[in-house]
Amino acid sequence: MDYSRRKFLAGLGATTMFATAGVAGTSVVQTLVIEGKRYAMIHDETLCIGCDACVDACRETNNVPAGVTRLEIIRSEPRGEFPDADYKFFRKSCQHCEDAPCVDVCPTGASFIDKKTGIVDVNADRCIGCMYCIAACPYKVRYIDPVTKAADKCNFCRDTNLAKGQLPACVQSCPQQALVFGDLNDPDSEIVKTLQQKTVYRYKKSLGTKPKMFRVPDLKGEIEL
Amino acid sequence: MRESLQHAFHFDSLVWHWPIAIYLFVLGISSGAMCLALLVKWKLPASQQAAKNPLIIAAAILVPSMIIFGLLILIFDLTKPLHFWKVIVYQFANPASVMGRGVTLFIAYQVATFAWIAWVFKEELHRLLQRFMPWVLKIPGIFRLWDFIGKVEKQLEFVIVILALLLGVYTGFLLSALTAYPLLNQPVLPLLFLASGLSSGIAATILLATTFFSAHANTPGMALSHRLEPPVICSELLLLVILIIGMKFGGEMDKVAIAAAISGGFWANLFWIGVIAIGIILPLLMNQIAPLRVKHRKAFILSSAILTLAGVMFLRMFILYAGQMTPA
Amino acid sequence: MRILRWLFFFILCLSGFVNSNDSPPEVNAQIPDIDFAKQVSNADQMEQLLKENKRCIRCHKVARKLKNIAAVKMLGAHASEKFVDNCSACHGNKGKHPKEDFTIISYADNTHTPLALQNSKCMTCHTSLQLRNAEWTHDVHYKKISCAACHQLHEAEDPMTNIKRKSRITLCVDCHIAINELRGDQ
Repeated sequence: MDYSRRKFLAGLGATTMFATAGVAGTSVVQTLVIEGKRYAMIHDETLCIGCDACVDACRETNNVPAGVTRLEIIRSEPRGEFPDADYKFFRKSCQHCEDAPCVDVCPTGASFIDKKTGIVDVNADRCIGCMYCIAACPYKVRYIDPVTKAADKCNFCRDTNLAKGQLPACVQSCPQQALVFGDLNDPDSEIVKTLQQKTVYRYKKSLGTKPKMFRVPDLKGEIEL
Repeated sequence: MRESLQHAFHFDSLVWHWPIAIYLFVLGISSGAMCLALLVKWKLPASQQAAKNPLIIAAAILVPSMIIFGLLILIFDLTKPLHFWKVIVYQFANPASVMGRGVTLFIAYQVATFAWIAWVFKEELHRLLQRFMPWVLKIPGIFRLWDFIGKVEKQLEFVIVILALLLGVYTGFLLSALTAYPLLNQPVLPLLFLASGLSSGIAATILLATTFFSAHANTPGMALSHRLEPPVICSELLLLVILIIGMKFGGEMDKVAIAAAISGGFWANLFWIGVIAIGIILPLLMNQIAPLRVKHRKAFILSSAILTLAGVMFLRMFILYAGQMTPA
Repeated sequence: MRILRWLFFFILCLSGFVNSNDSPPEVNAQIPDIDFAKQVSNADQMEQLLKENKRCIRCHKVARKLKNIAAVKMLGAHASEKFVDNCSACHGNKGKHPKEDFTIISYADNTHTPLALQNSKCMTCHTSLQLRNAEWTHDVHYKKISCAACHQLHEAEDPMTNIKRKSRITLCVDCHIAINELRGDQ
């Protein structure tokens, strides 16, 4: 092997080494920066009455266009017979995963986790609309906003209510107080205390997304985890 | 029947549609054609000029044009097509993104393959530039660059092999990063896409070379191409078997997803008839059974290539659509 | 042999045709048939029924100032030529009303009539499936509040008919907040 070829191959090997170290390094760096809050939410399915007040409040507060929704309450089939039939309610909205697949796949970094709040949000300007994040989300809570044409979803009212120091619109609107919102890093917060007292489950937890939407199961009949 | 067709192409969990399947298809052709071109070139006797070989000419056309075509489709499939440039400018904002790494790969691949084509076809390119764009030849350093490419030709080809193989597996990784879909989130997918990309690249190159560049059974490289096809197609079949059996041995959603995909309905029919029968079994049978006299006829060569290409396109459509049918 | 093969394929196709016929979906009418058969079964009983109803209308066609009861006229979906002011269908027979010892079924806020009895009158005509298909909340409210709490039958249009989504949600919210406040006091 002559001198120039040897140099070329050595350069190739060095580049590969640096690239690998770089990629490994970025993943280490990302896990070490945990200074901010970790906002999470509990949906108490035993208290929820399926009134959809949260859905409408969200739409109004965040100007969600018609045809798409950030939040959906899914009603189960009736359990039992009239007049003793009852229903279970399931909240379908962004789980604000700590290991969010939508953030992992975004090619431009438009889908990101806000380090200060732990909220998964979208930079609509940066988004090119490739829909990789929409495909990647196992909870299927993302949509393309028909107005901005960018990907969008629940962001815990980060730019609306939270920015004004208020609780998210859904939490405020619930007549049953079935929604609890707070910072998991704060041991005195209502959410942490509630999590210590009530039995909770998280949806599709086995996928490894580390979702932060906790649910108090309606305990009649079999629990679907 | 019409109702099931409607359901096959429109269902709740469907996010990526047929333009993406076409993109996956043409990327495979580019990577396969590049690999074939290099193999043919390496095996050419010293007296033969690579630039005159119909297979290498066909591949030189397919390699860049298929990528450009695929990227154009992608750009028009965006919901904000005019903002496509952001994926190039911000490609390193998220190092973990497979799509971002794909952008980086495309740039490296296009640069490397353009350089290779410029070197292999330097005389033809020189003549064309002289005639149509003489100012290019006046760019300072252009001839030194040209000569440099020639000097590192072997190293460049080595790098191109790696890039072409990466391109072949990239489309598989793009889909397998989607943990939301059990059929897509399979480790065997990148290998499957590499194998089917290779087979489609070989078929497309043979098709183009035979149709437009007067390639025939005795063209140097043609015998090699035909010798490559059966093992590549067989490995494609083997990988499909591994995918199916692997998922049948998987967790709950793996079993549900593979059953939904191949046991009934439009996509199952497309899989068994389009992918397996038309795209794999038939070309293999034709290759084994037909006498040499028939195998060397143009009609046979062309139909075999077309069947293989159709099979790979069907495979891309099947994986994309059936893959999105069952969420995790 | 060839004939057998053709026969086999023919039967295969035939089975496909047979299985592809979809039966039309059942029409779930939410409006019950108007039928006096629920109350009367012969002409004599019908005559009795008409007499009973006349007794109600005689007094209630004008306002009753003593107990502050407005004049009553049947309007809305339950008014019809066929029903002919069929007060007794929902309110029962006059009996000793308005003397204290009465069996009249009242749907007012201050009623003495038990909840189960009130709601069972509606179930004479409305089936549980119709209720569920019209509005799922019927399933969970039947045993808890009277139908009259939401439905105003003596109005030209029952406010529940074609209720707008926003009003409906406001109704849920207001009532449930009130319930929670009451429970909080206990």
